[in-house]
Amino acid sequence: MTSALDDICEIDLMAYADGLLDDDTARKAAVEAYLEANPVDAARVQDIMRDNEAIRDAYAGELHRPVPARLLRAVREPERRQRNLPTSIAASLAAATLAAGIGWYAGQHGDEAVTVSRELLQEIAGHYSDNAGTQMAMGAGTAQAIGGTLISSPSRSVLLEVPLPDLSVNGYELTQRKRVEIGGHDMMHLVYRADDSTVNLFMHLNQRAESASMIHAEEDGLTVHHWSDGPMGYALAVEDRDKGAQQLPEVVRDAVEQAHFLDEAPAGFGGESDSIASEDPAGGTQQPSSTIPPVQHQFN
Amino acid sequence: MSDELKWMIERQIPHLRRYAFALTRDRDMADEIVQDCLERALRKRHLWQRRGSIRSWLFRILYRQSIDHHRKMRTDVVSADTEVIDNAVNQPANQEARVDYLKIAEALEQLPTDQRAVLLLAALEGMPYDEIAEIVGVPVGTVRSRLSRARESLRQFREFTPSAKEPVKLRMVK
Repeated sequence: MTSALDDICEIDLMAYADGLLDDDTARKAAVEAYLEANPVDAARVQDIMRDNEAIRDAYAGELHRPVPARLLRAVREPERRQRNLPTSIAASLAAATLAAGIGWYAGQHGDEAVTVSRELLQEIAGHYSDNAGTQMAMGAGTAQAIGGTLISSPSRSVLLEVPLPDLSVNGYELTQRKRVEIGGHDMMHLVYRADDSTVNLFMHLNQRAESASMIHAEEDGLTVHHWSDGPMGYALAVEDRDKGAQQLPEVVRDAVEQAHFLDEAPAGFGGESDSIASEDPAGGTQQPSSTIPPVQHQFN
Repeated sequence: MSDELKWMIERQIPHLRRYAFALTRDRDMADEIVQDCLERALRKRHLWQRRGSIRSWLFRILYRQSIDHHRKMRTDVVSADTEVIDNAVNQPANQEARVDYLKIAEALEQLPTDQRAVLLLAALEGMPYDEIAEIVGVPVGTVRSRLSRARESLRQFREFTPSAKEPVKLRMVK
């Protein structure tokens, strides 16, 4: 027969130290009895409690600092907020010149097989690359297009930096990124892997500075979530059997929403010399997600 | 948007700021992250399930924002020197207590980001592990193991850092 004391484990000790057993008096009493009989663990629990107290004391004053007006305004007057990719800026891009000179500043190149059919990707890319000046034709009733048409401005060169989503907290590591051309559309293809599943993310340029809500397409055990945000379009392909991937579309959309325009090219950016056919000479090696550099995209 | 939701969000701002500051050790960056968090929360308020806690929902958004900021700002890492930590924590009148604060801030600084994030949610915000798991987006077991590793690191820091055994003599500045 085992006593309640034999039943106490590390989880109980941590929960006790963190004050999570206060509502469970029976368990709390059992832990306290255990600690009385085990001075080494008791000292360890005391250390944890002391650290917790020190952390709380160190930041105690933070709760009483006056809240800046801009934070209160963000809640009280949310309509004054500006989008990360304001249409007013996007509208200064040159639709006519987008196709002429696009430089991807990207990393590795590999031979990862595309698990999404080219036809579907082509359809998705074409979906958002309709001729400028015409209304975007959306296949699903749930889609809503907002924004404006890009205005030609050939003299201007604009850089767009798109962060690569870090899915490591969801169990996926970025294992590969490369450029692909599908149906005349230049795309950045990112491959994320978990233990037994793969997720593919495609980024491509829109010719219209429009945003559209997410649409879901199903194909052979895959669901492709695609959407548009200003000058960029995205398609995320996840395997239907991978239930853990269900939250990824939202995570990815939140991450890439941080895309922003750059005033000048960062050091190392190859500009036109890194144009479509180029590959990173260091290709092939894997890149840890913790050091994922963003993609910079140049519009000439 | 309902005034009730605004009111609930506003009540969380001090806690969001404290957590963001503890994570980043930079007041400006912390407020920037909080502002992004608030804007995103309001933009996506339709996603908030009323059956869940608004605190968890806001902290989940804040955590993601902090990861994005960390990635963007990774070349601009706040150094761990005493001056930065000194500025980062409140300075109590009691010198011994101040040394304790410096030590804990320095020890937190040594932790990997994922461990620090979890430890601060538990120790600073007093959150249960399942809520932390929801915020960080990992299983509860992973939360426990990160907490355990973080605490072991703090213990080792206390044990093997000379300044932890011998209180720092602060120089008087006239």
